[in-house]
Amino acid sequence: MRYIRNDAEIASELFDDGIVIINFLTGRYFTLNPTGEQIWQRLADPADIIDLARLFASADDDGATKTQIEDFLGLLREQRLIATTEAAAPADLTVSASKMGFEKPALHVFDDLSELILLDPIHEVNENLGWPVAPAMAGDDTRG
Amino acid sequence: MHRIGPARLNIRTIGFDDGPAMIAQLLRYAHWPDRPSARSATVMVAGPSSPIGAPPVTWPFGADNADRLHNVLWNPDLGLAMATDAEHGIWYLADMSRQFYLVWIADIGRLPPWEYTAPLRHVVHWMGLSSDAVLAHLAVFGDQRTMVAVTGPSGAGKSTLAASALAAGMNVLAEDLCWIDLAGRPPLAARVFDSIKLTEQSLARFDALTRLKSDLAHEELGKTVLSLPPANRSEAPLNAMFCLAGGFGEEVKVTRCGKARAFQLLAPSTVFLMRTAAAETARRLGDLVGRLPSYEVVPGSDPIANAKTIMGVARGKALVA
Repeated sequence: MRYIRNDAEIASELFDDGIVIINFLTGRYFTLNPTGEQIWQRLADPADIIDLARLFASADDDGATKTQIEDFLGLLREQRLIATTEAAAPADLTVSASKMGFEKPALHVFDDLSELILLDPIHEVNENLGWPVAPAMAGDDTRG
Repeated sequence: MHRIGPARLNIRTIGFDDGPAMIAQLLRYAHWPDRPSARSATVMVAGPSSPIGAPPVTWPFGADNADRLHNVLWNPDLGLAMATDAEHGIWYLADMSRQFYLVWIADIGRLPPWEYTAPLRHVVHWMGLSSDAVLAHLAVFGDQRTMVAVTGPSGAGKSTLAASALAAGMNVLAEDLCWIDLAGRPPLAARVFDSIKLTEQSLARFDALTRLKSDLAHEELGKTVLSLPPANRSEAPLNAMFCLAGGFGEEVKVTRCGKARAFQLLAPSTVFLMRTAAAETARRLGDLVGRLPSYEVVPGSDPIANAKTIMGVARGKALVA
C-alpha cells in the first residue's frame, strides 16, 4: 500500500528548525520529530513502508523499524494528513547516500484553536450537511 | 470610491432602502488611508430585496465542487472564491479574474460584530492574494523607525499588548488583522481596520483608552470594541516578529525563537480566520516568517514595560534572555 500527503486538506511549511503542518478541515496543527520530518518529506510522492524504511541507516531488514513507521503512518492517516494512493512512486526518485539514524517517529498534535473555530464560526458540523448544521441537528436542515 | 487600507473599492448597493447609510454603517471601522492604492475592485453589496433575493439559508452545493464542511470555495484556476456564514446571513463571492466581489446580506441587523470590526475582510483577503500580499492575524505597533509584528493565538495577549503600545504613545497599525505586502524587502505592514477589541478587565488597566470605547460590543468574545486612533503612518516596513505563546510571568522575558515556532504561532489562527486559500495563505505566511528575526515573549505584569521591552529588543538596545 502506498501513501501520499493529503494536500487537498493540509498545508505544510518547512523551516530550518522544523516542519509545521496545518489541517484546515479539522482545525489541528502538527509538528514532527526529525525522523517524522524525513518521512513527511518523502511522502510528497507516493511511497510504501519499504520506501520509507530505506530512508534510514538502521532500517534495512529491521522489522521493528517498519512496525514503528507503520504505526506513525496510522497516526498521520488518523489526522487526515496522508491518504492511500494507487499511483506509483516516481522512477527517478533519488535516495540520499547519507542516511540518518532511526528514532521512533513522533507526531505532536496541537488542538488549541478549537475555541477560535467555534467563534469564527466554523465548528462541529454534520459531515453531510455542512456548517452550520451540528451533528445533533442532522434531521433538521432548515436552520439558517 | 471607498478605501479599506490598501484596497480601493468601488462599492455599489442593491436591495437596501438606504444603500449609502448601510455602507457607512458596515464600513465604520474600515481604515481610510490618505494615500489611494493602485489595487482596485468592484464590490456589489446585495440586500434581501435585490433582484437576486436573499442568500440561501443552507449550503446548496455538493461536496465535489466546494468545501462542504466549511461551506467555502477556493478555485484559483477559475478565479472563483466563496465564503459563507449562513447563520448570520452573509455570503461573500468573488470573480477574482475581474476583481468583482459580491457581498450578499440577508439582514443587516443579523450581522455579527466581527463583520463590523473587520468589514469585508474576505474581500480584502482575496484582493491580497490577487497581489503579493496576505491578510495576517497579528498586531503591529512601533514608532517612526521600528515596527514590530506580534503573533499568537486568540487569548495569548496580542490585544493587551497593542493596547499597551497605544497607551505608551506608540503607533498601532493593527490589533487583530493586518495587511502585509510581501512584494518588497522588508515586508510592508498596512492598517486595514480601525478597531481594537479589549476585555473590560484589560481596558480597566488603561485609563487613557476608555475615551476610545465605542458602543459596539463583541459579546461572543466578551470584548469591548475601541476605535483605533489615527497613526502617524498607516503603513510601515516590519523589522521583527514577536510571538506570544500564552504564558505570563512577573517580569517580561524575550528569547530568540525558531522560524517553525513563529509560524506555528501565526499561521494556524490566520488560516482558520480567513477560511479560504489555506495553502496559499500558509505559504505567504511562511515567506513572512522567513524574512523577519523572531522572538518569543512571556509578558510580565507591567503592560507598558512589555511593549517598551519589545521595542528595545527590536532596536537592538535590549538584551535577549
